[in-house]
Amino acid sequence: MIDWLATLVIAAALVMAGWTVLLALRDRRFGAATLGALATVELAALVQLIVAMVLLAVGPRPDGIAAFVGYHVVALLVLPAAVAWGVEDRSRWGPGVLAVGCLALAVMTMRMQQIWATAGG
Amino acid sequence: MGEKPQPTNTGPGRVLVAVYGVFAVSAGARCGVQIATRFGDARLAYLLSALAAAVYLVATVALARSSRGLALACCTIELVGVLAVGTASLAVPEYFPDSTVWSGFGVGYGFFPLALPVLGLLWLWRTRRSLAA
Repeated sequence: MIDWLATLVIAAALVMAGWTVLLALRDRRFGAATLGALATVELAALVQLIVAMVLLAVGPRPDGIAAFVGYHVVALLVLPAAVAWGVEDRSRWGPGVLAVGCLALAVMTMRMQQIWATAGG
Repeated sequence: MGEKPQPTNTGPGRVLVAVYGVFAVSAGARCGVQIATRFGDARLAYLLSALAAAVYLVATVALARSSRGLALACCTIELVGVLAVGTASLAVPEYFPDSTVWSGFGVGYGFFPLALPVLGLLWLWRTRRSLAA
């Protein structure tokens, strides 16, 4: 796991969480720009998954490798699930659902970093 | 009293379902790993975590489909579970060599396991009657 990439995913997820909370507070629905930004975050999470799998294949492995891989896979599903669930709600609570997904992604990525630290890499 | 209650999956309920979903998946995945890799270490703790994960999953589906009775049962089980296991984990820590979702009233999960059933019950109460009432 590359530290700066994980930090980037966490930061981007937190920024999007803040943005979607702001949308909810201002009683706005989310549009194409928000979805595009989320797609970019998702892409970063996908790159992170690929990088992690390569590192696992060639280098030292952390304790709890099953949990580590599990977090990576679930992390990729969080944002699509949040969009699918949030898009149907035509109120301020739609962006609220996205905020929950973004926060979950950030927390999961932090947990991955903690587990990865046990690999000494 | 013949009014239909509101759906539980719109408005704030939609966010509640999302949070429940996150907990169902994360608690389920975590206890799946624990049971698969080191079940012998803390059988009671891992079985309780599995129970918690299962109840979160059913609660998520029940709230998402506006199955009020099922959602009420799940939230009640969760509230009783987090209070009972939370108390037990402090009173007799030797029974819990590894922590569960409900240990210390959910302190390892930012007390969300304690807040979720309360929010769920409040939401079921708020939506008990139709908007027109």
